[in-house]
Amino acid sequence: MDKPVPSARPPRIELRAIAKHFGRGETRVDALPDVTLTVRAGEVVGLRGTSGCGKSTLLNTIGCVTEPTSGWMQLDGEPIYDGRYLRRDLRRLRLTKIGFIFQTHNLLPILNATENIAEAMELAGSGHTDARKRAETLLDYFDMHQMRAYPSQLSGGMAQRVAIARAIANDPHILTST
Amino acid sequence: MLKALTDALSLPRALHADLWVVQERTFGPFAEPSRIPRDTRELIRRMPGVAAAGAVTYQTVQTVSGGNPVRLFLERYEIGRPGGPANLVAGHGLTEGHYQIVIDASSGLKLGQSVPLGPYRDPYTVVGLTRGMVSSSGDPMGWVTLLDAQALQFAVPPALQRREQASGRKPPTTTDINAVLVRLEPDASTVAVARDIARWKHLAAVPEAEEERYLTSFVLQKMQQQLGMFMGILVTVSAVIITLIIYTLTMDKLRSIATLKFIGAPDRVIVGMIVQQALALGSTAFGIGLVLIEELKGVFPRRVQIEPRDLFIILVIVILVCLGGPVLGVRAAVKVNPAEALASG
Ligand SMILES: Nc1ncnc2c1ncn2[C@@H]1O[C@H](COP(=O)(O)OP(=O)(O)OP(=O)(O)O)[C@@H](O)[C@H]1O
Ligand SMILES: [Mg+2]
Repeated sequence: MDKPVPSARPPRIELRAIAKHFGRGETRVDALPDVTLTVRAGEVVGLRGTSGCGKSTLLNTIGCVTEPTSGWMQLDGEPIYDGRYLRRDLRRLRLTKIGFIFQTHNLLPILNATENIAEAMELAGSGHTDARKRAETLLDYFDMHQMRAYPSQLSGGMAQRVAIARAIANDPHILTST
Repeated sequence: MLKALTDALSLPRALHADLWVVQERTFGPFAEPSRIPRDTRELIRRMPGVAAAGAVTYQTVQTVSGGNPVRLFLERYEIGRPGGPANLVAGHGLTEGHYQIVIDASSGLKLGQSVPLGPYRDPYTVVGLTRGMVSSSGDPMGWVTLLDAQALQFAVPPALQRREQASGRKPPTTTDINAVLVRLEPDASTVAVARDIARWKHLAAVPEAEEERYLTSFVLQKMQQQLGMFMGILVTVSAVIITLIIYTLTMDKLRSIATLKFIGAPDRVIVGMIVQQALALGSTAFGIGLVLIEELKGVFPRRVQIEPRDLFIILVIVILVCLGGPVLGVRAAVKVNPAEALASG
């Protein structure tokens, strides 16, 4: 899975023997069996596998949404997990370092395209006008000109472009996508 | 204090009587029925310290205006003696002993209109209108003269007379009155005159302040307690409704909430959004309520007008309900797993 690129900087993602199982006893599911993985800056890694093999679980683990059962994980040079989470504000970590592109666009239906993107930036601490300006620049970059349109008024592809713009809005060092 | 109380107190206050002379061991015409012989007025009038005395009777009657029934709280008084209309805003007081009536504007009747009164439907002409004179049960006041012997013919409607007889009570005679209103000489002592009157057989003298107190504590307190109870029930019901609405709205948005959490929004932001929604709901309801009260006020004769202090208290209650109501919704939102944002659907 990994393809080392010589670099002085620490890897963006580093997993060592990360395991995750759901349930216990009869119903126990081993979703992740001791995964070791290193992803460096600039690398694009694709995961392939049968349905239910654990792809989403792995991404959720990297996104600190699903807590592993055991192992060690470091993101952007910062140890995050070592049998337990090493920092408490995991949401802040997600907000500033990781961008998520969901299988379905997952835009907030009550916000228009620009607001969906600006909201992510405002949550990360940007000012209101700054966030809107940058959101519009991003939408322009993606050739999305219906900036005031609500998700329900967008086609699937357009909505997904807005979602991608939102995912990169806070300049994350890690971008995951299903 | 609800306006109804002020309304009811406007009556004894507006009559400017220093003392109310009523049947012994009763608390005045606004607290309970009192019957005394009509010649009592003359006896009281001659007492030292008394400047003027007027006989009055009180009675609830029904008439019609434009085909609609109108209930009136009728005071009969003697022209030129204590008693009679206050707060006159149009027309004039009674000038003749016959077939004139002064009435409160809240009855909807107009100057010059003819009002049928009594079992014989005698036509009375409206000669004066007052404002804000309603009885403690919200009926508009009306005044006719006690001098008119004919007016006394309907002192008690036949149906009531039959009922009174059936229940074994002594039917009132037309020579009974309910109270004597007393105005004192400037230098007379209310307490001393009241004590003198109390020595008389079958009479009690109630100072104006006492009459107000009786009215407040006996008649109106119950009414206010009832209003308070209704308010309590309404607040509870609204709290439940707001809770359920916010809960349903939150359940509808769980996926958005999960996405927000996934992206990294702190709980504080999410809870804030839910509470903000509840407050918006509550303040909209409060606004609509205010407009409704303002618009419908005139439809109800009993003015339960809410004063600024009550409004403030209600606003505080609305805010508390809006802060407490969303608890279920907030719980659901805080519990939702961000990973649910990935669930297809
Ligand atoms: N919250 C959960 N509770 C219990 N079991 C779970 C949970 N989430 C995932 N699993 C199980 O973990 C395994 C891996 O699931 P995962 O969603 O990671 O698969 P996937 O590789 O993403 O599949 P697909 O390609 O269908 O999306 C599955 O067997 C699934 O049933
Ligand atoms: Mg999956």
